[in-house]
Amino acid sequence: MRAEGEAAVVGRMGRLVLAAAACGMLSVLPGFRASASAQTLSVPTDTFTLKNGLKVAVHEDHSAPLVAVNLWYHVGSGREVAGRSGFAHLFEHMMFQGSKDVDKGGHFGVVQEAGGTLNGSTNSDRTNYYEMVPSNYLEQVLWLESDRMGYLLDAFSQDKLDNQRDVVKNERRQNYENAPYGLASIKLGEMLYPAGHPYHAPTIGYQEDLTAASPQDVEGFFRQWYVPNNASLVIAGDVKPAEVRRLVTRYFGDIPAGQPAPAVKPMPVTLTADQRDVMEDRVTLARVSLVWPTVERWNADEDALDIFGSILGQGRSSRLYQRLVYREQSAQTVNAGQGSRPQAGQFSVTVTAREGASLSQLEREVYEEIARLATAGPTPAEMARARNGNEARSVYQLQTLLGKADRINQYLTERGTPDMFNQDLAHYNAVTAADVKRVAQTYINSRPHIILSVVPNGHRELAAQAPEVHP
Amino acid sequence: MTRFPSRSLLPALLSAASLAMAAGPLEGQQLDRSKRPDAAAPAAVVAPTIVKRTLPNGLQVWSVTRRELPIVNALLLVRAGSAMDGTSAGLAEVTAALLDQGAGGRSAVDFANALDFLGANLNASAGDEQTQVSLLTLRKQADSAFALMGDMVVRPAFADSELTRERRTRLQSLRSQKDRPTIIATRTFSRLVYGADHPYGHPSNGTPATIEKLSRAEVSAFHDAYYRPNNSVLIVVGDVSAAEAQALAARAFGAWKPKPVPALAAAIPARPASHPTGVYLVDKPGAAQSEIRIGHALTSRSTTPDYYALRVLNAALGGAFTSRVNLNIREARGYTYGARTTMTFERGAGPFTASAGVFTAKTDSSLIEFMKEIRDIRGPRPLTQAETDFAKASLIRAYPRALETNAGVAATLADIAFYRLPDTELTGYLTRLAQVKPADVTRVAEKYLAPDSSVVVVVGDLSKIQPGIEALHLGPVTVLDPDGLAAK
Repeated sequence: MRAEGEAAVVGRMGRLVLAAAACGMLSVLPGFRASASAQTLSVPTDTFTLKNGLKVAVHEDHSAPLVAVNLWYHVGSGREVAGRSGFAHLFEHMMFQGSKDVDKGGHFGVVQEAGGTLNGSTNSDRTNYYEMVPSNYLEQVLWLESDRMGYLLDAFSQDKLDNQRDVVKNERRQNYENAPYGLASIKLGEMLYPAGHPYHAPTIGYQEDLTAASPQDVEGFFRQWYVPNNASLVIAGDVKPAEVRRLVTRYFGDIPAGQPAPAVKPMPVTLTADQRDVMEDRVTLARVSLVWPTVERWNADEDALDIFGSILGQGRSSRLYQRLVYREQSAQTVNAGQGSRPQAGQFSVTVTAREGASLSQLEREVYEEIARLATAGPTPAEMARARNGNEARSVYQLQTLLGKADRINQYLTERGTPDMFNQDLAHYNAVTAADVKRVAQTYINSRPHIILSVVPNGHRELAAQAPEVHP
Repeated sequence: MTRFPSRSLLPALLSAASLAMAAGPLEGQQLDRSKRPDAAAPAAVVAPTIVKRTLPNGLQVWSVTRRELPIVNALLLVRAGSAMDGTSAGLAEVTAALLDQGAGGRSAVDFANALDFLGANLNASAGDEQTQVSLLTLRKQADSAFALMGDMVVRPAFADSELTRERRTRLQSLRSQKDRPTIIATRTFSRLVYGADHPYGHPSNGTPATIEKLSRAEVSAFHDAYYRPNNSVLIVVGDVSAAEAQALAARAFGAWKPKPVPALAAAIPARPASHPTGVYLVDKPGAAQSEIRIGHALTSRSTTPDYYALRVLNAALGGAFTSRVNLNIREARGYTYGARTTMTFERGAGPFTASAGVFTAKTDSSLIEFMKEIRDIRGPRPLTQAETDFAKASLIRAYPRALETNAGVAATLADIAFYRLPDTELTGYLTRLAQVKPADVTRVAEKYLAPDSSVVVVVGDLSKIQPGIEALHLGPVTVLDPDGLAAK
């Protein structure tokens, strides 16, 4: 057994170096058995900022001849204007339609010919674009990314907009309208966040707003948000920082800065009373979702809420699983957890009932388990499972260059520093059972929340009903 | 001990002739954006070094040491799958699902608690012909994690109470899967291509009738017959030496008893009979999209000499974003969020499937385009040299990406192990891909793609799409019940 931390450094010369060589002799793997000590994680980067404001971080990892390029624009659906929901995501699609020196489809063409992979994604707070290619193709990827950052509009056309509008409408049909329970996630956002809040409308948007998107919107959005001083670029892999700096300067240096984007501040929401609603859908099994407003990302209580969620309803060792799914067999699935975004957070419990089971009964049982955990607090074994699981995931997330690059970019964007890996882990490990109790009482137990039932078409009587109040 | 190196150099394959190995542009030189920059010389292709040993009970243990992260992956491949279900559809999946529902003296709850305490991921899943049990653990928990893995494979309890619970869960899943048009479409397609009696034709998650009567004796017998060290390969990849991997394997699996395995595990399923193209419709009133599946049985991975040409064909036809079907149906026409083709290779003839979820109003138009692309690539519009080179480059240069993670290495080795390929195939397939010519692709397209003997399944709002589909005259049209099972 070892008392000191098992320090691991993600090194310049390899993906990760164990800083201390350990030598116990009792198990198959000397020195590692039953170690209660935490990992120490570090992912070193070189950072610099171009004159036009583009922030860049480079992480060297020579364990495979690969490089990941990850570019964040600090705009998501939260910045959309009224009547243009879904536009940030539709615009993301336009970024794959070619730019001044790249043909329509050229981004996919260049990267796939290199044996690479690429995509982009939009959420409420940011839009990211990423590629992973053999490292000798780094310059081609920088050429692609810089061309669309600087010169997208040169290749814009109404036909391309119309085509991608159709594609995005089909994306909405596939993932929301034609998917069971798909529209419930949209409804929950509308219920929890008031109109005008950045998280009220879904990132996928409403069909009528997608229809309304115009070429002028594309141009305006590009000029306002797609400027180097509103972006951050992370390059991770088999590269030399000096060479990366030279190439990034060469390809991105001539792109003019734009107006600075206004800073984003937390906009927490509160509820003064429970809100209950019902949706009908083409589903066989009824489902109830309970959602509480909680805290935004990086709030001091975020990790304690995360642990509360993991003990309450994540995986087979959680309380709700063992009671509702395993013992009582009244639920088909259950899940609970804290979801944090930069401007607000929410805690959700979702229970899918078996046929014949009562949603109202399941809802009551969820409250019982919440109250029990909020009153007596977690057991030491539960705290250990939550910490160990988090520690393991903290290491597992370093398995891919794309995963590392995206996390570095998140830290850089939201905390202003690229290597928060160890602080993140340490903060989580510092949460006590008393903290978990406290946040459960402060934010969840008997606090106002949303209750949304999704029931089979024509069966509103299956919806979870408000409990009778006995004075 | 056999030690398989190795390192083979294939720079010629990895840099297409069109991409000169020039140095990057010089600092200060005027940037000409109109020209794609040249790629620098590619890195050498390095195959993982595999150390192979066999435990006294016959279990092959292959290990690869990778020190980048303090984690260990393990993958146990058992030659047992749904193709061996017999008349008990769902047997292989239920057996795999029950492995960790109580094992090695621990109850299901205790097992879950112990596993989560380690922060390890441990899952079993059954495919058509193999079941894989995969583990991801921190190195410092590897002893305990391997012990749990050994318990679930060698010493599962298969308690009656757990089987009863599993059956109830699965019956509910079967009832609710008809809510998902994608699942209805895929299940219906498989059943029609293979017929319910073919080893690949029944649903791997069973039917209400088969799950209802699945017994503990059957599950136990299936496990007893196929879950044997002499019918399995254990692959260990990560932050362990070869000796450590062997020791972990010996501790977890040393007590596993060998036994001769039924011949079914070695039998290659016959190719199903083919029929003239038929169209099968499932009504989903109010659906926003139609789910389309088109295809037929393809060919056996184990016996075809055309595997590599088929890989290139699929990459060009529908295996990538830049493939013909997606560029046409999504990027030119906007009918879908994504259209694709897949070729599933198995020991027997796996399916070729063209698929997409398309806008209801464009269902017939999408079918026209799918059929046109499948017909065109067989001759009228054969693959060009440039398309062939592009498809080959995309497959060959993806090599380091496939091996980025321990799990990627393990999956690659599992393929080698399952098909009993020589280790030289780890990099040898790059050479074989590089040798494929446009004429080869046209030949295999003509030989294997069968637009006139395909199954066409469409799940959507028939009140809106049926007349348009019938007008295409693709073949006889049959409307099925909502589960996609019987004719209405």
